[in-house]
Amino acid sequence: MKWWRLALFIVLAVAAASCSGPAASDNAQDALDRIRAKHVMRVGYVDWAPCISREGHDAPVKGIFFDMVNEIASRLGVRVVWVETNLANFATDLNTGKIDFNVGPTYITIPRAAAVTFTIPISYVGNSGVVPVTSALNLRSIEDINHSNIRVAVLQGQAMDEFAKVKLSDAQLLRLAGGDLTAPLVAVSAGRADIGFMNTVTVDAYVASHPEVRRLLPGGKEIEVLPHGWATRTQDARLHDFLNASIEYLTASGRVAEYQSREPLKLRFPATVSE
Amino acid sequence: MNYVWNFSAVVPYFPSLLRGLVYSLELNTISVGAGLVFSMVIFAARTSKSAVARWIATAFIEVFRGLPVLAAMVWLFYVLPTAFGGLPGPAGVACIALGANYAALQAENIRSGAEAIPGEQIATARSLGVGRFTELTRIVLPQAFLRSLPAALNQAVNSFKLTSLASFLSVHELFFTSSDVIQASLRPLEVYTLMAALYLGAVALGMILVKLVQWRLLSRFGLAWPG
Repeated sequence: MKWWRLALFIVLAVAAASCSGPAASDNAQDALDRIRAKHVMRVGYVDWAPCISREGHDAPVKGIFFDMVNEIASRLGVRVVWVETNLANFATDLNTGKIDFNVGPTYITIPRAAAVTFTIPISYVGNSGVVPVTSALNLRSIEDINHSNIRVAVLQGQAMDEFAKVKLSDAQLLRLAGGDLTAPLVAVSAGRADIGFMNTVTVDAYVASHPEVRRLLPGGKEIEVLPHGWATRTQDARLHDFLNASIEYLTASGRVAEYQSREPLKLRFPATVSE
Repeated sequence: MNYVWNFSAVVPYFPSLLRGLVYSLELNTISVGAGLVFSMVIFAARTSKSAVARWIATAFIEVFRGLPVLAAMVWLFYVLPTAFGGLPGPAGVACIALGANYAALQAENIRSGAEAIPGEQIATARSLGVGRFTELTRIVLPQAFLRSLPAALNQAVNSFKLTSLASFLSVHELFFTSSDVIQASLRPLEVYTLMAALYLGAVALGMILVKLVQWRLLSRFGLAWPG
């Protein structure tokens, strides 16, 4: 029964770690100071074009946020290490020190803001949904789909997951896990759900290549338009201020617009939202 | 490490985690139960005189023994309704994938057990005119099943660990529930630690039961098992 001793050791080690608390020096050091001292910036990202994406394990990371971070890192004189994460785990990765900050793209939502600190909004993206092309569903109000016979697919941890839990309490929620943003849309194609929710950019790309589904809302309408922001730990105030200033500089100097011009899919940046 | 531990923040969510654990256990009980019955059918087909039955059984074993359980789950989840309409919900698909994987492995365990049966027994039965079906159900399967039991029980414990994969299909088992609790409590490491402790506790209990059953069967039937 040697495995029993090993299990006991692990439990005791975890208990000891939880009782000992963090090292004071680690807590006192802001992530920005750590980045400058080690000359390495560990940046988390969720694979999502056009903001940031990678086509394979060995392929280079690219996208608008990739260009922005590289510009910031080069001005700071540090190297960037990219760490892929997902919507459910990015807060954990931040709070455990696996990454210094996360560029997402992550929506700024109230529950998330309780766990991490967000920068100023960088871009705005709406949410939409797909239904089978044969579906007679027409969404006039959200109450039209809040029925027990409607199956709604969302991605666990994504903004529409929170939306569905609050606004679609009567519908059957299919909350899929993992990092694949198209999973709720695939669920509709496979007949697993009547509606699949996701951000509009992903929905539009999916609808364009899947004739068996159509957009839930015609004419480019969206359910919620939410801001994207980069996330830092709540303790890292200096890194947070530094990133805010960097984002303002890159936006005002036209660098963000320049990066976006290279991408086929367009985002709405703060300057264009009020237009 | 600069994480500040706070287990008291996740205490209110402990009942939710326990419900997730119970659901994982239910999922495993159904999968293993169905898999156990099906493994005997597969074994019977594998040793059948019919070439078609043998071919189907072999194909089943090779597919579900070789395919990662997560790949089988996701494939069945998306492809089954596309090909056949409605069919099982997420939990049903998880049970099918886990049960099929278990059946494929256990059918091989039973085959190993059958090979250990002395050839004289079969020869004697045939010389006395015992039919093929009676030979299988009264002589071969009972002994082969008993001999394969230790491996079957260990495999059942492994199958319990694989239930966490059902979280990908929106099945509210322990892993999925833990992700939900993390979102609600914002205490990831505490929840992951509790989740690991619950899995470990359940597996430890399972292993004790395995040892008890092995000891009981050993004393009852006097069979010598490896390990």
